[in-house]
Amino acid sequence: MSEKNDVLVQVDHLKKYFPVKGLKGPGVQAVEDISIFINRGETLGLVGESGCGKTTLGRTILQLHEPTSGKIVYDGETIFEGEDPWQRDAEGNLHPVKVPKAKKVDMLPYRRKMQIIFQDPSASLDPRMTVGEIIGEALDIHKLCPNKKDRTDRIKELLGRVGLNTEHANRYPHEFSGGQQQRVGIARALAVKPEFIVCDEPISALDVSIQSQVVNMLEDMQEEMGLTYLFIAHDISVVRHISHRIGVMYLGTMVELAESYELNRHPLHPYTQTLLSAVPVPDPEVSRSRQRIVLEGDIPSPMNPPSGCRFHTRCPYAMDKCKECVPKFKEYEKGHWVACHLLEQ
Amino acid sequence: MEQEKKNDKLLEVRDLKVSFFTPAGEVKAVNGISYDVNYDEVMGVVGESGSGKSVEAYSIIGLLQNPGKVVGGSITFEGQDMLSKTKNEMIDFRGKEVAMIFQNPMTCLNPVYTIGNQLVEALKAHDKEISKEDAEKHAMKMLEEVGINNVEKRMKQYPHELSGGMRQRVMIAMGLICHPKLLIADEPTTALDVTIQAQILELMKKLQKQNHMGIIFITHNLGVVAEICDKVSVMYAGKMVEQGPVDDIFYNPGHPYTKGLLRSMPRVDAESYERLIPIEGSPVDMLNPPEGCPFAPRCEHAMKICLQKMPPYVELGDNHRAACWLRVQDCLEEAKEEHVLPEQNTEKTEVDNHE
Amino acid sequence: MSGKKRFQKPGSLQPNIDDILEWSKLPEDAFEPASTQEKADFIKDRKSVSYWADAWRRLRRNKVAMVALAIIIALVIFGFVGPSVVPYTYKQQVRGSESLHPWHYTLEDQEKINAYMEEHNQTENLTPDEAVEKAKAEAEAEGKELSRIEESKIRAKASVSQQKESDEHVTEAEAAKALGIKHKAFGYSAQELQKKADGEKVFPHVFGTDDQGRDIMVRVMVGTRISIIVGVCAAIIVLIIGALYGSISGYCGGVVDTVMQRIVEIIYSIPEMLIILLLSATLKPALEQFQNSGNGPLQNLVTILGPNLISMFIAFGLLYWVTMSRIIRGQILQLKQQEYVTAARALGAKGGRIIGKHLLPNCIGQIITTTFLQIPSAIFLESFLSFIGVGVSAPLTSLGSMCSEALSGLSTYPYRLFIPAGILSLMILALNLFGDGLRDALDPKLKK
Repeated sequence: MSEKNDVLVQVDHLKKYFPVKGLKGPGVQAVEDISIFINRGETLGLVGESGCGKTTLGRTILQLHEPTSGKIVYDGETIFEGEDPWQRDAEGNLHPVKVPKAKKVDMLPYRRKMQIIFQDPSASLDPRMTVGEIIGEALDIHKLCPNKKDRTDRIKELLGRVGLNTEHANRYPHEFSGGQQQRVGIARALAVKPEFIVCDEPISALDVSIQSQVVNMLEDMQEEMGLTYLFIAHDISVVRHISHRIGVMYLGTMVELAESYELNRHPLHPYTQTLLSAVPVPDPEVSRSRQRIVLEGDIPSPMNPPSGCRFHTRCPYAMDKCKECVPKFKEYEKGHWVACHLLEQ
Repeated sequence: MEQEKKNDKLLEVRDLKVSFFTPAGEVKAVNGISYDVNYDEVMGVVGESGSGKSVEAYSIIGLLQNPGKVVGGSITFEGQDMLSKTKNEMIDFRGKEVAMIFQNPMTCLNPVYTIGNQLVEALKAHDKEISKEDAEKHAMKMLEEVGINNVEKRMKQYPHELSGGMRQRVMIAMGLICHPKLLIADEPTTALDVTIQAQILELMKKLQKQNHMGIIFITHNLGVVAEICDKVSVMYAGKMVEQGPVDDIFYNPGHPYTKGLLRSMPRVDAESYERLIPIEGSPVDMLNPPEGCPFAPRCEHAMKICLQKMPPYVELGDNHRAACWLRVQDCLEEAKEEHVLPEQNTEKTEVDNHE
Repeated sequence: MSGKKRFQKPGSLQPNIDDILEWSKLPEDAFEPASTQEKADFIKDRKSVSYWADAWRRLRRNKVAMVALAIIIALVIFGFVGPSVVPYTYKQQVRGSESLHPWHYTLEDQEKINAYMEEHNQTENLTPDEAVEKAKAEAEAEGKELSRIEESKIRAKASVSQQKESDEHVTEAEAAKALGIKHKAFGYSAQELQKKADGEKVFPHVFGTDDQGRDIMVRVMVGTRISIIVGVCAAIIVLIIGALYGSISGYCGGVVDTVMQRIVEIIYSIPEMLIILLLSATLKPALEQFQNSGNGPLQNLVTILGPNLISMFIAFGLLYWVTMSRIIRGQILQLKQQEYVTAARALGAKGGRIIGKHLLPNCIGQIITTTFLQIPSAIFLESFLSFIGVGVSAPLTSLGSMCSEALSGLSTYPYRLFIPAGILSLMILALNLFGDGLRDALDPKLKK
């Protein structure tokens, strides 16, 4: 009996660049040198603003985008390993180098274990298929229920699990409300009995009064089935609620990673501090009394990220070192990782 | 003149009804709402999709498109009846007295004209005599006021060259350029990142104080409401279910929907894990609005009367009211306790004596 | 809960005390909790409308499209059911019924006309001398002498009438007009009219007959049928090849797509008409050999269609699918970005499944419309080829070949051109109008 690791997903130095047509160079540097791990049964939250790369990171882990370089290990097995085809020269510019072909595996068996829930349910459900067919497709691809009766039963079971009327398997997605459509998406992800689910902004497109229903359902499912989540969202309040640990990303880099309450109590990175103070709180007293850090300027484009620490252009504490050197992502306190030169002193 | 104005309300909406006449039937998007907005006050309109919050804003500014029509009620701005104005009068009105800013600035700014061009156009629409130089100077001043640097350069840029936050600032500049008395902001920060949202909210607070504007701030985010609003109207299914000062709404909500919203929102500053209490069910279909309270199917305290009749408004405090039969029930009980009502009511017609 | 309710509030939006009195009149059970069943019944479900029902509803409202549809249905019945109604076949030559007009005179009227015509056309054959001779003979018979003046009058009249021969030649139509006789509808030959008079049932030649006695209406019907069949078959060929090519090219993207599109561009530059003509010329001997090789169903088919039509179909298969493939490719490129495609990939679906189950079904509106609009193009092409003589082979007829046959007798029998040309134009117009209406109805962008 092999000893199962506590770590389910391990990511080392993952990079994802999107080349832009007609332009030389790396293009959009969406994910830059991320190294994290996700424990079995936990929810790791990812927060950040536009261009931070959190969605790209989630999809790259699932190999929906092919990584540019780095290593992804799932349950002890390496599913991707590739060397960095871009080297930085003395001036800090990137130029391509020849590297051996990356090691990839056939993802089909892994697709059973690693699933994804999308943001916009009306876009992620094929409008031409009935809800039963959409869920059934998952079963068909992996040949899970060859018997027709089993298949119908399983579809009904899944619909019931997510709180939908089992008689509605013959309806089309547009006949459901947004919240119900999202439940269909969740049922589809559950159909293959996965271990790991990337939740890519699963509640952003839903009405406020429905969001909490879905959040509770995800929590219940996690407890029941021992699921591991990578929960990506821009609404920090929700992420903080559902996650055990939270990673804060800025412009493709991970700036801080800590346990969720710890992050709120002692944010160490200047960006995290700004982010937390900017989140509106539904409490007028708190709103009036709190100290807000308002940053100047806009978020730079991931096509032309600043050198060194990518946050240095907006950081109130920026030093010379921040412009030249990329800070290392280190564990300063137990379970609390930060990438900031300020802490290195 | 100023004094007289202060006593007038800036905007009075009474029993507004707006319907969309679609091939599938009449969608009663707004089903009878009433509220006031005073000078120098920010009113938040909170609701989900389908609650009618945007529709009612559009009808104030006269931008309601076919197949939508105002089918009842009145809108009075500084004593003038808005619904009886002609098209041309409304065009003069828009921008000068009432301005609107929208959620997605990319779709609201014309991609083929420069920023400067569009700002000057906004000015010229209301002041035909203004010279080009004066208009440009005014425009640049406005851009500075909304916190854009490098104004000379920005004037010549196109919308797609600016970031989301900057575009929103430009839209605010365009809206405020003629110094309107009322600004309607339809989810202006929903599409923005959190840090940019914070910047824009600060900007709006500053400009509101500076210009003594009234603002109608439409959003579904209660956090933003707590930030910027002085009073709040909560809309559900085309009806205003609760209205009141912001503190009352958050600390003493009278309507189950408001309470449900507050309970179902996670807070970033929570100290420990608390399971969210969601509002069950789904938003109502506006094509067939039922009799009675539209929130009843989702309300855990729903009573029989809730399914039969629309609840009346009950005053809960200073300018704080909610439309809920539960509050009516509270009123009656208090009335009984204070002996305002006779003990036995002989006028009941439908009751059966089960004893 | 802290109640800050007050009972007297000046300036509030609703006075309180009256309300309280009113509220207290409510029945006791009004404040009892509502059961879940009652809550569920409260919600009226909106009737769900499927995509097709929605499209049909939109289409129905489009009056032009509905009229066009009616015309198309009428033409289909005309072409497919019509020939069973008419007892003549398209190649049946009815003796004695050649060159009938689509109208006729009754037997009695015909006799009257003939008599009138004889009367007025008598003097025409006589020269001035013959006229004088005739008059002299008449005078002699009456015992009179022809005076010199009368003789010269007769001479003058005869010569004048000779000059005006053709002008004054009384035609049937003029005779009928003079007699005040109207012609009746449909064409009958004399024998047929006789048969009718005898009590037999004779089917009229509604559009008349051609100069070989073949009923024109049945030929028009068969021609319509041929046109429709050719149009539909060509459209199906274009659909299958174009959809396959376009979807593969669009889905694969990259180098595959580039290469496939370059091939498409080359095909676009080929002149199609030339290929058809070349093909039919080249294939003719090969096909004839094949036809003579046996008597199976395939050979029969080849015989019926003829080498020209076969080469037209081949040309369609080789060249005409490019427009469809471009349209499909465009749709696929757009749909590829949709999130449900990513979702299918995340489930582990491979290319074939994605194209077949997700991409193509989602552009079915475009596919249907484009295929449908191919039909009038194909019909027009076939008619044109038949018109210039390289279309259907005799005795099979087509609207185009009927038009070209009618050219020779255009002045006498104008209807022989106008009827098939009119039917052809009507068909193409109706198909195009309906196709437009179909496009509007199926276009998801218009869906609210």
